[in-house]
Amino acid sequence: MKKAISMFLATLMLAGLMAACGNSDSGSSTKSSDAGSVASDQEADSQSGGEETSGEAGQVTGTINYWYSANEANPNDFGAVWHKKNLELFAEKYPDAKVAATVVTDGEQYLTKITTEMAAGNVPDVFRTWLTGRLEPFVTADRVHPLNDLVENTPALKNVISENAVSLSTFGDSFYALPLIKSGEVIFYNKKLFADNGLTVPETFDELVAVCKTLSEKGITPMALGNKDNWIGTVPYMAVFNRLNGNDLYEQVVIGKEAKFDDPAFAQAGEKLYELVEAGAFGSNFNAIKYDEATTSFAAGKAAMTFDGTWSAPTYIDKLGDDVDFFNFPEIPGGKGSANDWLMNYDEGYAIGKDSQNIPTAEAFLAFMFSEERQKEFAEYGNLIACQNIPVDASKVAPILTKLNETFDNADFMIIPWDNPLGTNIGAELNNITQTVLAGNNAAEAFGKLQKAAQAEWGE
Amino acid sequence: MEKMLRKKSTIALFVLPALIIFAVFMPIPLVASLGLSAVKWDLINPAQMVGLDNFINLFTNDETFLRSIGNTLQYLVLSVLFQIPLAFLLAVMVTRGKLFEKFFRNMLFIPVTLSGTAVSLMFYFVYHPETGILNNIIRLFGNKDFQQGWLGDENTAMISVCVAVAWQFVGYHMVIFVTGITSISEEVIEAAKIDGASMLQVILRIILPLMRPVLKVSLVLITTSSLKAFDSIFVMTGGGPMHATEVMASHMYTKSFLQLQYGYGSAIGVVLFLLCVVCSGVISRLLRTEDE
Repeated sequence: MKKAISMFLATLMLAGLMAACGNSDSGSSTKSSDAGSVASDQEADSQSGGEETSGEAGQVTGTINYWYSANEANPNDFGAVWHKKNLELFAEKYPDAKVAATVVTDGEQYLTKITTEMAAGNVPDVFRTWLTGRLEPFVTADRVHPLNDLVENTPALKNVISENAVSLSTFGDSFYALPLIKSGEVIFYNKKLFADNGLTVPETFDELVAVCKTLSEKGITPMALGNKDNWIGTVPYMAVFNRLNGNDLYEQVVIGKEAKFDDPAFAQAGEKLYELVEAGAFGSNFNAIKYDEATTSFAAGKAAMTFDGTWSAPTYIDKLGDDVDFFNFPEIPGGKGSANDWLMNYDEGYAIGKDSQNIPTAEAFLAFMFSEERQKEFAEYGNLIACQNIPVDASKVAPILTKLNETFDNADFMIIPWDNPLGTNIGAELNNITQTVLAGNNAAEAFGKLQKAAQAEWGE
Repeated sequence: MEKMLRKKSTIALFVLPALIIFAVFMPIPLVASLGLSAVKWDLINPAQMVGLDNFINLFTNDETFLRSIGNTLQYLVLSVLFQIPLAFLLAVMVTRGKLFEKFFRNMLFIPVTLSGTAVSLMFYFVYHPETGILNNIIRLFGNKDFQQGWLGDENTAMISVCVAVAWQFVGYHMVIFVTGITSISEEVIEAAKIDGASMLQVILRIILPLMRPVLKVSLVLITTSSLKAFDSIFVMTGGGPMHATEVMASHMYTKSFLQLQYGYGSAIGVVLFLLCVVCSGVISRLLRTEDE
């Protein structure tokens, strides 16, 4: 009962604050409701604060440093808004604690900054990090605080943190970062363009080829692909590879890092992918077009499909409304993979510095970011969140996002985009190889090169 | 005063501040990166001494690196071919010409003052396959076969980048040549003309040989700037497609800053440095005048 009350009050508090926030942004339209909500804010503070941090509230004092990456200048970067509100709400909840935030606009710059500062031993108390390969050097250098105890001892956290998600930040017995987002790569398609041309969602690879040919003949780019940023071309390749070969070889080579790229399966998948290029699926100049341009072209309704990450979904919903939907790469008859194997990943981890002088406050802040209310809000901005058991209000989210979420939850298999587990070097090289193959070069030769690079890096 | 300045210790005292600053910014980092090239280091975990392993890997296992040497040299040759003859021609025109010389001189120099990134970005749009002005002009004349993704095609990417770079720097070398040409005394040329030499003969027999030292300056400048070319490549192609425009500097950047292999990146830097020294040495030697 007490929990229910505090939940209710917490929601009220959130609603009150959101109204307050809205006010400061948009003038003075709803001022009258403010007076009422202030009182309940304070009440909710004392109640939910006491429960969530299980009696630690007294230690949440002092200043912590917090580094993250968000583009505040970009109105579509809801992450920036969310982070800002995290800071404001946390300051209200714990008036004795101060969070000094450092924001870096660009992800690549952020990587350089966090890496150099890590090297110098200036580890912030709470910081954004990457998962798997990029987190590993930080962990092996003993710079990151393990989070098992925090999650175990905080019921509110234990309830929402998914084991699948933290498996990507687990090294040895502990995990070191809490992933914020879930992402996947699906084929978005424009329902209107499909209907206008009498097309239906392809069920097999051959049907996909036929769809591409029809669209191409009518002068519509079938599938926008901005392969100047060559990682995006690897996306359809991974799908084709899975549909042909299933997941054994993927687990062995990509996850297990056994250098076997000379297995003919890799080159064959490349040749199969090239059938799509020959059918005009990507247009003719896709290697000269940037990723963002392809995204824009699909959003503008100029391309019928695009194989893209779910992070683009909010943009597509914004521009295309109900006309956008998605499907997975179709099955290839005779192949071992399934159209219910999805390219998926968790990303954007948040971690605590090992040498932090103020672990209690850092933990409280992390727990606050991953609290139900904050995650709920983040999800309702249109993000797919890594946390589970969050009661997201489906009416506040576009139906396609709910559908994506459910689809991923029911996936038969989660294919992690290869360049992530392969590591920065071989991962980047793989993207180059798929670009080579998409340009029509000999696939066996190209993967021979990748094999050579992998042997050099991983040993025989 | 004079007596004081003759004392070696006084000289040393005055030279010292500049020397210290110079040492901090030039030789010390150079030596440090030489040291770095012998370690394996991701900046965070302790550096491991690996001796010459980085260099051995560079030349035996890193095909991209070997390709980047070839690409760098290709960039160098193309830059020389696109810039020197054109700059020379323009220099002759703006010094021997009769109309608007000053105007043309200034116009041609304007691109030099722009930032390399801005110029590269501009050319990125010029070459854009769909909205780019180049393909639009080609379409206007109906030659659809000639239009292509200039920067996205392995065969045209490097040439396209070098044309953009040439557009920017041809004015710079023109100015160097103009100084060279104006320093040739008018009488020599007049004398040749009276003897019946044609304009072409004047250019080939008189101006060109006398321009040798100036030519050397230009060549050395193009060589060193081409070897360390980075901004134009980074903005226009990012080293792609398929490493077709991967030069040594961009490869070094990728290895050190994106893949966090600082030792390995330093090894590339050392090779690049040696290549710079060798190339400028060779050019100096080739264009040595008799009195040197």
